[in-house]
Amino acid sequence: MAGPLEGLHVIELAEGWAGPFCAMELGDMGADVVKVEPPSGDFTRQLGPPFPQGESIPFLAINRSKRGITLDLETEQGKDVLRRLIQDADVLIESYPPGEADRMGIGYEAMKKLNPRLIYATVTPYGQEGPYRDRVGSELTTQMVAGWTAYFGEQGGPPVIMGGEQANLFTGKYLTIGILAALDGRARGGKGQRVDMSLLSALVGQPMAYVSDDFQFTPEERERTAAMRAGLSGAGGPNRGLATKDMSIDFMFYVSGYIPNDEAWLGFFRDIGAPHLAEDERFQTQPNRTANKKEMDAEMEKAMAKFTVYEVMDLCLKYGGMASPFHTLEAMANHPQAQANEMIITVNHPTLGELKMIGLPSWYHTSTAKVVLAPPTLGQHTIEVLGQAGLSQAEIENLLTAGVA
Amino acid sequence: MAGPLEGIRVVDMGHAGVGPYAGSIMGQLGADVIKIEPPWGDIIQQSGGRGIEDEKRDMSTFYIGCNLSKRGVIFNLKEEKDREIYYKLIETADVYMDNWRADAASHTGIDYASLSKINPRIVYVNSSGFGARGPWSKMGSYDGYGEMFSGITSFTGDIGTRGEKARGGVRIDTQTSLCLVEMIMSGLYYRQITGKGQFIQGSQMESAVQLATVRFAELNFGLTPKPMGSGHPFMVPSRAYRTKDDAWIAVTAHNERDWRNLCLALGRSDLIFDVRFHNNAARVEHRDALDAALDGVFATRTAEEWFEGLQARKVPSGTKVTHMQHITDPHIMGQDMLRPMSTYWRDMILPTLPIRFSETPRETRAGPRPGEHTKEILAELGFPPERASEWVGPNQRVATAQAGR
Repeated sequence: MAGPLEGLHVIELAEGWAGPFCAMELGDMGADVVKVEPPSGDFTRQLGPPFPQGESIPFLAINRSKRGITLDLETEQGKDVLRRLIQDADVLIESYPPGEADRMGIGYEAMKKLNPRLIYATVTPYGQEGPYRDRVGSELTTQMVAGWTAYFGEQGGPPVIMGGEQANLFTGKYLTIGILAALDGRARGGKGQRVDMSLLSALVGQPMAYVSDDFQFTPEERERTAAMRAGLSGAGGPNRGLATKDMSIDFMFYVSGYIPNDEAWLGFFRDIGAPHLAEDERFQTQPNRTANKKEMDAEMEKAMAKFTVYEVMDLCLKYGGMASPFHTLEAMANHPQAQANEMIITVNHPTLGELKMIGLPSWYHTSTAKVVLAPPTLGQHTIEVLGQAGLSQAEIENLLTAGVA
Repeated sequence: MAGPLEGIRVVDMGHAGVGPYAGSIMGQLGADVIKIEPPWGDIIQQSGGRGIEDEKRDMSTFYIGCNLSKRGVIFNLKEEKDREIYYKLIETADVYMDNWRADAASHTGIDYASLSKINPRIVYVNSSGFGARGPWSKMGSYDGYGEMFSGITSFTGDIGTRGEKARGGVRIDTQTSLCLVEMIMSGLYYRQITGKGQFIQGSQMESAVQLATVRFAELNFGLTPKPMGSGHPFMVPSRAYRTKDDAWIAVTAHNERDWRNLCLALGRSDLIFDVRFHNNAARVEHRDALDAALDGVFATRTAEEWFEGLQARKVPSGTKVTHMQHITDPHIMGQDMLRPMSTYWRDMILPTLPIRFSETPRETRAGPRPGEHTKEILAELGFPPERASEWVGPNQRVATAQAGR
């Protein structure tokens, strides 16, 4: 079956994570994506060790569902090839510093003249405008500047960031949405246009519940809400919930009432072998459980030690409650729920063989794309793509000889 | 044109965080988003900021912040009289979206089978807790549960810990909203090309798992991703260092140019010539030695002093900023990442959709009170105003629940 974006042509000039992730998503959804790398390759190809068969693990993670070519865009010849590729493209994604693509002669204004229907998408650390536009940043610095280190680590301790380039993933996700929205507008009578995302705005722009509250409140109100938050079970930070026989588990529900009612909760007590809790007034109602949270935690800690995490989860299911184990990535990948929803996919890499990866988080009932392209080795598809763009064998040979492709 | 999606109508059945923010994105992209609530309202009307006793405050910041750029309608879909109007509305819609349990819509006759009979071109998107397939498909989820299930907590945290989940934010909800919008947009694209609507499903679990995309790749090579504090598994240096004023400066060297500029900015050109640090792979192997050297250097000046010098040499760098500093920051406020808005509760500062479009700017405006537009929509559909159901507020829901169970 073809993916929903079958027939869409995307040129990716981006390096790093945000642009490449966006392009990978478009590719996963069926678009034809060509990643254009400088002859030295995307900088993420240098990240390691280890370098299995000479490949970089971070690069592999985020560049499937595309074909890869090399092109030196600092040369006139290289730019000429790009100009040919752009004529058939719907989308271009770049991650140059603001103004850099214009300086190179491949910026939005130049590309728009060649292809007025082009959606020209950019990623920068701080945005294309404003007083900080020329600042340079990274995943790490973005999380610091966006204030997100407040969510992790010991308070007052060294900064802790969310791992795995998540600021970049959010940026790429918003960019994917921007591109698809621009395409929809174009299909209904609009023109091509420019779509910009910054790493900083991808974090600052999220309507995080408590942060948004803080903006509205007086200092005195903020103090009161902070105290309230600290009392919430499952409030996060280094606290990892309750230990079971195998993994730890976190419930928010006995404080927040996410198990549907008191009766279900009393049944749960009996099933975990703690019927005395059902008899104890302190734990019989939602307000009482909240008021006696400390004692509740201690009792639960004792009871949980007798069960595996999935035994407890089965009870949650039985009573319509909610909780979750603290999984490792391996435990997640082995879990039937992740597997049933096809979150783990396999691609076949030309030198590394089968690679397991995280799939697209969506189930299209009539147009699911099947991921077939492994992350490209450097320049793997140069000849094929340039040939399809109409370059003759002699022209391609010239580019290769000159080191442009 | 007001937003790229002008002319698209969305029936937003979202509740809590995920659905409402997805609808808010669609609205800010220019779609006509109609938020449907039952008479007792969306459950997040009262959530967050519970320490605040403000009699005028009958809606939470979360509710107001996640429902921008919509119209609000009250329908009681358990009643035949409202379902009749609702079906009429569905005839005019391009998109149906919800974030209920995968089988919930069938109970009120608004599942895909029913609605696609009325409107075969509808793009119907459902985002549940744990996915439509598998043993946990009936379990609900809140932000933190998806986070724990996905395994992303296992690589976020201080070095040497088992990892942690976020304190006080709801980024998994945001990610799930973005996935929901992505499903809608790709469904609309597919409809543009083929003329066919379709049924698309995702979930909070799947969305959270996607945030593991980068570090999951390590499992293929026998590695187990671990928390790195502010550091990076394959890129050195990329870490926060303590400065003279007991603050933190974060630096990242994406490539060898960044690395050399860093050494120059620190006045330590000797490090450039140290064979232990001569490329990224060498620095990863000698991470501890390099950190020891850099710890010593950074301790000699303040974070601000370092920041200026590093930016002057184009080294990705940043200091720790708090979110309360954002609302006076000229770049953030000047870029409209956060916008002062007049709402029915207070003058507020709310995050706006961070995507920039050159031709079709966002359409960000304050959201409706529950049911503010019920009569207006009824009139548009040709029904008299006396057919309108009224918002009765959360107390009614509590009363109903107590009577029913």
